[in-house]
Amino acid sequence: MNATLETPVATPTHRIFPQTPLPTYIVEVASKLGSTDSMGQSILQQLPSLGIAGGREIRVSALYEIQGRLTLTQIQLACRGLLCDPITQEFRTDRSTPSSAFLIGPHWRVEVWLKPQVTDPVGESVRQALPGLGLPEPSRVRTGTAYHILGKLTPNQVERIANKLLANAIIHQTKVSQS
Amino acid sequence: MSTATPVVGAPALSWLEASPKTLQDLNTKNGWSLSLLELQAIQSHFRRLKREPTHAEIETLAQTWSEHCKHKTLTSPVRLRDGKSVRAYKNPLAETIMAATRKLKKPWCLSVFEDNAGVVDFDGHWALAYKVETHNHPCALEPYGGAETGVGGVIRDVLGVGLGAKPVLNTDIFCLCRPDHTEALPEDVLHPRRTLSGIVSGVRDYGNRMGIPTAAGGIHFDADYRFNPLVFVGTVGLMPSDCVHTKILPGDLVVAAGGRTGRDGLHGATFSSAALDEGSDASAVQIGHAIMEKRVLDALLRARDARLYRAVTDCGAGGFSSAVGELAERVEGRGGVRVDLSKAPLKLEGLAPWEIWLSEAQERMVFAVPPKNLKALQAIMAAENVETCVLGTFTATGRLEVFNGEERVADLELEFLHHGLPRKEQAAQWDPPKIATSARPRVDAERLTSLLHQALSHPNVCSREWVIRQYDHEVQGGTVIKPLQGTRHDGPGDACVIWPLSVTNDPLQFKGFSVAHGLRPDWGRIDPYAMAFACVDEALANLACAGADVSRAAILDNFCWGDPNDPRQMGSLIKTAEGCRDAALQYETPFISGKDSLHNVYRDSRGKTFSIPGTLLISAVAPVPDVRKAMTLDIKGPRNAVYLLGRTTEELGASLLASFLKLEGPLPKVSARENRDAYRRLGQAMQKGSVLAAHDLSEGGLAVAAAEMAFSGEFGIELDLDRMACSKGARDEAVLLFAETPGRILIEVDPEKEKDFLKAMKGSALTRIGCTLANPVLRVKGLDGRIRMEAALEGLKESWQTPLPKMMLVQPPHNGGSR
Repeated sequence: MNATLETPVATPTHRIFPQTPLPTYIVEVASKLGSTDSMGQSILQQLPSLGIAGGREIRVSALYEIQGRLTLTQIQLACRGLLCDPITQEFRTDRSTPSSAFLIGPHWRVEVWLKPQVTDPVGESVRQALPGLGLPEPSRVRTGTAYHILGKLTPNQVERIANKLLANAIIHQTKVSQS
Repeated sequence: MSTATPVVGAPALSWLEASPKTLQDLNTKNGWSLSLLELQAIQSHFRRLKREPTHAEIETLAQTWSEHCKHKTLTSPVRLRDGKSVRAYKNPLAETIMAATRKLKKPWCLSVFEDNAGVVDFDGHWALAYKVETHNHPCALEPYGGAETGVGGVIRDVLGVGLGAKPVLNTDIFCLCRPDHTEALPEDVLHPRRTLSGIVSGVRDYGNRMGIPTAAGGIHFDADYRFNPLVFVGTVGLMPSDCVHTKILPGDLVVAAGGRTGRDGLHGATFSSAALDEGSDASAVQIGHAIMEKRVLDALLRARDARLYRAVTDCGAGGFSSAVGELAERVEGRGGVRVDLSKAPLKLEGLAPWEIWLSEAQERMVFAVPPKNLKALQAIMAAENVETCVLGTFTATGRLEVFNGEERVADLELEFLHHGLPRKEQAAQWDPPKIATSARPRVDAERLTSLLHQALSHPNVCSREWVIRQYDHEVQGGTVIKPLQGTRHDGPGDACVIWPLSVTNDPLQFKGFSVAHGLRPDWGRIDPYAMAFACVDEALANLACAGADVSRAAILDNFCWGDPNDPRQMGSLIKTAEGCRDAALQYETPFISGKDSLHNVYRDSRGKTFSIPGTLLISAVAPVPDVRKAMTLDIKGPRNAVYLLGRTTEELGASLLASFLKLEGPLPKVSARENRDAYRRLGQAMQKGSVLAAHDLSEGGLAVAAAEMAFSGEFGIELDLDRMACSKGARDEAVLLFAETPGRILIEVDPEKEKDFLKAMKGSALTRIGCTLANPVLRVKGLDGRIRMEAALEGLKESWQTPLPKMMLVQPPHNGGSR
């Protein structure tokens, strides 16, 4: 499939400098360190079925790619007001300092995003919800999931986990990194 | 067509002069799934018109003539060789299933086989609509998105029947390979654990987010579904009785509402006519948007109650092309429509007109709106945040005219579009498999208890709590009888009962309805004709156990089959359809709607093909006269009488016992007329209040049913096998405990009301075979009067509860301190 098929639906209402690219923010929302990550646990329990024994913990966070004429402060307002539950979760933007939820030691990170040509209902809902918070409507919101896998794993094993448990190549694209 | 308007999108290649080979190449390249006969019919049609077809026209024809939209396999002539006899059908569907409904002539069938769902009368003021669909191919590729859009689609069918019904219940049935499957699968086939977990999440998210309870269903595991899992989804809705029939007038506007149109889901309908293979194209896969559909639902019901539109239908397979095409045919007079695709709001720019016309983007409905009501309709839609657009006008030209701005992209005669499909006689053959005569099982008395544990923990018997608990089955507040029943709300109910207060708003009206299913693909392997009877019987027995009025039951058929080009597959399909006809007549239960999904075939990289076992799902719905008298399966107290309805026979074909002991044998006979009368009487006895609990005997027979009733209620049961009514050959303890003769129901009766009960059941084979106990054990007395089994309920329940969580690698349910 061809990623260039997609053109954004809505264009920002006030285009001052049409040439400048729209700012894009990546927001990540994770459960606070110490709170149960049930999705991560259920994936962890399935690793042995792939013949993988080295997994110790999996932590899952939600990803939002928000594109539009918003400032970082406005993005943070959107996180506090909509995307992040302040009791159980923490968020970070690509430009903020990581908080404790994101300091989890050496791990593999698998990002799973819907392919650009697949409809993203959650992203659509987020896009339409921001004006309800008094914020400008972004031109585009896409959602994804980041899986942080802790434990002794080979790149091949991580690849297998991504393909067999986390992503479906038919609708998803994945990005694997190590830190 | 006027020569003044140029036809755009005409293929560079000439259709009129194309050779058969060129046509077939085009067909493959474009994924139309048309046969050569059909391609040539199109060619000669346009030769007569002396012009080239446009791309949009070919696409429209391919969609409209697809298996998904026209059911051409079941509606085209068939010659069936059944052993030595030969039978010919011109239209098998009309001559079997529909013929039975016509013959039964039930006045309470309000709309059958004509609209998006079957409609029956509910209580004189309200009508009940029910539709069950499959979404197998999308679920095989992307289980979550496939299941979601399947649920979304069937909900829209119920929204799009008559003037629209309000959904009050969702149902779901899955057939797949067991989730702990260990053999290697091809790279492109998802592991069944992943498929099950994905489809459960999809059904859950769509139903829960729309606020519709998912409270009835089932799962059947069989390794032959490993390449082609089956996902059936159903919706029941209610609407005012005067909204059942619709009439469109020329001049009414074509108004589309809901989601925007994108490039998603192109070729979903033609895709359903093709086999899956390694490298199947995935453009047919989509993700559902439940919140959008909920907004459409709310707006639609408000507009319906103000009677702002004359007809509505959903955009399913084929998108606008099939929705608008269907409505155009329903316009008074010759029918016709003229639409302008440039008016449709799009998700993305740069869509070709035929893509807009064919896109299966989800959550869209099409309305026929008198021009004077347009403003009011748009106001309601806008208030619910639903986008609308006026696509065009219904006409009386007898043509489907599609424009994109000024450009004419398609112009087809409705007559050719809807009735031009060429029919070809299909070959069908059925040779009954050679079944060894009933081998007698040899089971030591000590083994009976371990066999019971083995039966309870069989994948097709064990608890489905892990699935059911993920669904909201309480939303709307009308789920009187829940899918999980008993003291700890974890016993396996036969059927749910819904009190549709959220629609009727009348708290003093206690009429409800119950929904149940029958599915026995293992019977179909031996005798597809008998499978139809077993499915109908199972569904009706389940309804009877919930206290429904079985004499008013209506049923739906869903056929999922392998390759219809294989005469043997076709033979079993037609045999099943004949079985459906005869079962409907003998049970006096009409079919009101149905759907088929063929080509459930997988072709591996070496070209070897795998077909699913021919699978019939019967879904049944019946009114419950008074929901306060509805029934559950759990034993209610000690020292009550236990009765068994029906007679046990020795045939063990397709039973769990036979599979455990590796036996083969014939199938039990289904005594349709006797069972029908017995179920009706049982329903009446329940409405009179003499029954305390009831559970039908299905997989695992008497032993499993008794264990389930006992551990759900946490009271023991004592059974005396010597008292059972049975055929001569069935006087064997293992057979009596595990035979699966249909038509049997285990019933707990209040001793003080035993006389009333027996009076109500007069005429049916009924024997008192035991009593309930205060001790939590299942005790079985053998034919010699000695105790043959005494099993603790706790252990039986554990065997039944643990397998599914174990197979899914999740935690078993908490058991509230019962151990």
